Amino acid sequence: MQREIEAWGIPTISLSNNPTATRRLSPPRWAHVRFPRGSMLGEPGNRDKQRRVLTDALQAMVAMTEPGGFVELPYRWEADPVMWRGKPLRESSYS
Amino acid sequence: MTAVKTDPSWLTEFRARYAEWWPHACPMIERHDYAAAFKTYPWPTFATTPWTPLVKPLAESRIGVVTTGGLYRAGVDDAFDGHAPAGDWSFRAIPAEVPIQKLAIAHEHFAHEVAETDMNTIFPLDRLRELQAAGTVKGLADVHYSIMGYCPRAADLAESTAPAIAAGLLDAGADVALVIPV
Repeated sequence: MQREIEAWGIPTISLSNNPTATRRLSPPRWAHVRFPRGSMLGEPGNRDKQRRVLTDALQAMVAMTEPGGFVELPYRWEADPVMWRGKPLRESSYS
Repeated sequence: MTAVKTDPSWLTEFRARYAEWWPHACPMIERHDYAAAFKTYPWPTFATTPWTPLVKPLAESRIGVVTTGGLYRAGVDDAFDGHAPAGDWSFRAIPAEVPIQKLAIAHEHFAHEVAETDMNTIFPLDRLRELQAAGTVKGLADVHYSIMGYCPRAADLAESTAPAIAAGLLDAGADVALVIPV
């Protein structure tokens, strides 16, 4: 989907917590976030961190001059683990 | 149907491999054994990557957001079919002025509690408005988009949904699109 939007003339960037899955799809630009599924911007209510994730990802686009660029964002999950099916979610777990 | 602008050469092979995969995978999916089912999923691969250079400064750019969180307007939009074994590749258009915390979630494959506490964790329109106030971005596109991220039928997503979202974002004035999976 990101690829199609880019092909229509809108520069795109995606957030990803799963580099293996993301690289397989060859997106134009992406940012690696170290957060669990369902919370790519960080902890609920943490407005400052959410803004920093957005700002960093968007500003990273400026420096990416070729397709496939990515940026590693330094932020980490700082709340209790998100539970999914009785287990704590790790960064890149899919199910 | 809106025409696909990315290289469509992967679609035929994907559809053939999907048709072989589905009869084996469907029973596993129906009993929620997704790990086993998706071990043999025919992930598409792409020879090229589309590219549109950023031409406007961010401070002059309106941002469009696409979420895969299955968000929809309760009482206005139909819910996604979050239980369908083959997924739901439809999309919903979400006007920028909708209060995001009132959006409903129809997606059975992620924990909703975080988003239900703060929808900005998956669909950060409020945070982007704060970036607008700070001058980091010009503002939001008029309309944003949601799909439901459990969508094994990648060819249908690519042919039906993705071009419609791309066209919609252009009409909505998006200069940049931020794609946020759940």
